[in-house]
Amino acid sequence: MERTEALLIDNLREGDESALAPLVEKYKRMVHRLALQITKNHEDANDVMQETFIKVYQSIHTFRQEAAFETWIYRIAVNEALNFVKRRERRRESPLSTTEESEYDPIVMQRAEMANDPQINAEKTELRHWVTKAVNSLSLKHRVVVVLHELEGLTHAEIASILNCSEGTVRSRLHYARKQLRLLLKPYVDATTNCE
Amino acid sequence: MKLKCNTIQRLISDHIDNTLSTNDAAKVKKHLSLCQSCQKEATALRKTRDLVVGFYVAPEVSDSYYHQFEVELHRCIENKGPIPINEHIKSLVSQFTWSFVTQVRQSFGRYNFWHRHLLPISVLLLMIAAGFVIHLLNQPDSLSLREYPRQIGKPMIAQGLTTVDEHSGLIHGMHNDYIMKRKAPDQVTSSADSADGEKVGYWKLADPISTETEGHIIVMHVSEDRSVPSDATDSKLIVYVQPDILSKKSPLQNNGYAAFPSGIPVELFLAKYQRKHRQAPRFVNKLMYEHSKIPYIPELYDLSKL
Repeated sequence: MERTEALLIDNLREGDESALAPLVEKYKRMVHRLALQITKNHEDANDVMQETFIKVYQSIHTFRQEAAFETWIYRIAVNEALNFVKRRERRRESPLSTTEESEYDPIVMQRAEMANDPQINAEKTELRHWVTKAVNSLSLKHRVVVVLHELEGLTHAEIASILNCSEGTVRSRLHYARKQLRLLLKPYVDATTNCE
Repeated sequence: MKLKCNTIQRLISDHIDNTLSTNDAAKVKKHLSLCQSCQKEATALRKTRDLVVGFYVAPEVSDSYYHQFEVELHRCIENKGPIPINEHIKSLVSQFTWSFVTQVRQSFGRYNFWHRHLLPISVLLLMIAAGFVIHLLNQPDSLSLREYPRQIGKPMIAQGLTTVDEHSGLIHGMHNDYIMKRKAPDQVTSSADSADGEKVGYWKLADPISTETEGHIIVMHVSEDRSVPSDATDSKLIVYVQPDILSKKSPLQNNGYAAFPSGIPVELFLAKYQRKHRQAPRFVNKLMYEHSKIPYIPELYDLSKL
């Protein structure tokens, strides 16, 4: 019989390690997507995903049932990802650092997509490329808010809780990020606006 | 118009998300119907949002990647295991501290006055509080977890239950030791009251001593004639229980006898005890000790055989 999420959490709290697998199964894509969007790096995203689930397993007794489990995982994943990015930035600043990092490049995915489906509209592909590039070019704090709000569909309150800041800060960052994106995507925004 | 446009533009993002209050939404809507510039801005931001939502390529990887990840995760968790409780407490304390410091910093950022005056005051108060906590933890009689291991083996006495008569040099106290005092009187029996005639010369607890007594030595009394415990002043043996002994399996404990002497230099606790309880003469004189005769209890006695 399939266990409900609440039961899985209770079992995990009681030390039943097998309860972790269904939770990982349910949230792994979300965590990976989030980690990759924030870190823009496959290796870091993998590490973030691993650290997130280890933290879920080790800190499950600190999870309060009144909060949504999904929001709790989001919080862990976002914080882990932000820590990874900050650590990476410090590494880059270090004069001894010689590591080359493979940054997540959406264009690779576009090409793969085009190869799979030759009928795909080239214009659409280009638009996807620029939109993804524009989001990835935002500063970290603005990118996180855009990812959580526009792509993950979280509310201002949920984002504020995840980032441990006020709702006003979230709104302000989102507004600023949209204005930045508007500038970056100006030709496409103007084109679609003029069409109406 | 200019100022109002600025005000309205700050609300445009919320307006396109439909997260404004009814009142604000009405104001924005009214303004947009009149101001072409703001209307253009709102349309552009809405289009931008739609572009991001509709055309952002969410990264995705293959199932084999996730499978490999799950294997690694499982192995990693097996190696690490759950967080030990002390680590957990440490992390909670550090989280709380950082959150407090962050909030204080944010408050100071907002108000110049706080920045100038409250930060040093808060730091001073924190230092005083920390000093007070450290002082409490270093108290010799503190039975906190931190101090407890160092006190095992030192003689201690259940506070407030016994006293010393300075004139006679006798220890006075109650038969009702720490445990007994916490139980109803009908749960405590003595051999004098008990129908069990085989066990004489000591007091017996209805239930075995539990580790609730940690941190206390149970002071008991055995009368000199070793047949019947009494209030008479001829009793000469002090019997007490040490916390670390309680944790061991003992036949006496299993049988429910509180009396349990151990090799503790009696002088030490007498000196300390006299200092602490000189002004507490209200206890019933049932327990006594002549420390000149028995300065040291060298071994465990099975009181049922005394």
